[in-house]
Amino acid sequence: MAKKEKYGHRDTYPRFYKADNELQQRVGTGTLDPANVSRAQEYMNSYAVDIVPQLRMYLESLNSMLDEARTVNYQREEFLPPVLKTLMNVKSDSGMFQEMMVCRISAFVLTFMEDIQKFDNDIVEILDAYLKVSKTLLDLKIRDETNPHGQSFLSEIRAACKRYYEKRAVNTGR
Amino acid sequence: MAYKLEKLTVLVIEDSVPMLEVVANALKYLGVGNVLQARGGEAGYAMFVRERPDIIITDWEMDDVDGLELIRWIRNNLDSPKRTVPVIIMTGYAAASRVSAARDHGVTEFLVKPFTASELARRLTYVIEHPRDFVETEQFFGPDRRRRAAMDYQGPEKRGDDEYV
Repeated sequence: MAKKEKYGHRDTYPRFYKADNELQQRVGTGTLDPANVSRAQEYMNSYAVDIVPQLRMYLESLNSMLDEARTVNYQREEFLPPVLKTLMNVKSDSGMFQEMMVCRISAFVLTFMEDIQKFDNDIVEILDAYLKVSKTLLDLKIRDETNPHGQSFLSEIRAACKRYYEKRAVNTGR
Repeated sequence: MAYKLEKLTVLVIEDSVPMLEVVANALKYLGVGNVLQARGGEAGYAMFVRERPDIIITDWEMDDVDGLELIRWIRNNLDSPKRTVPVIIMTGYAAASRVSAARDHGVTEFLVKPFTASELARRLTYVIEHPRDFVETEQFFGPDRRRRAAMDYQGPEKRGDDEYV
């Protein structure tokens, strides 16, 4: 088929480049030594850094955003990108550096916020609850994601998000 | 047979020092021969031009130049030494819309934080084992975004007669 017919008239047409096998030829194919993978994981698990001060800074900035959002009655959606970025940072850093419970809750709230894409009063309250829970987890040094207190905090946040979905379904008919 | 990762040069770009250190050293434990490190997008691009690494692993959200902008430079700048270099982007975002946005900027692979050594290794070997075709249009230069082969597809091959460069 002629390019003009396929793509319509254009000044330039798509160009295609075949995959480059140079890396494959140099490095070969096969498997990775499982001992190397274990050693890398051990190193990652034992990497000594106190990430808590950094996490507290993220949470403090989220707190300031919520304070500001409470004073604004319109166009609150502009708060969404920085809030999502902060949640993503807390999730990433806590998860990479063994604060697994904070990571778990942050991942849940981030997924919820990315789905909802709203910033109304109820969302502000949910984020406020998330903030309090995360600070408490850091204060009590609850790191393990199977910790029963941590699990109960996660259930509370989950329930709040579920109530939000139900309320929205009633309000919008969805 | 095992991969000869010692023959590989990987550039890691991150603006968080602990994250940069942990990823770079994990790659060394995996057996990568030469691991280069850059703090931030601008320094990362300069190192890419200078060192011509085989693979780039970059963070998405960085303060000076973010990962997507960096990929735009790699794929389009005139001084880019290898526009088709595989780029793995690391991020805490996992929503489909984010993956799609990254793909539309020319990302090769997506690595969601937090990740394990095994997940890092898998992405690394995937880009070696599955080199991607590249597409260039007026608005886009990057890996071919069609990833899934629809085995039961019966219709016309829209790109069946495309000529490769």
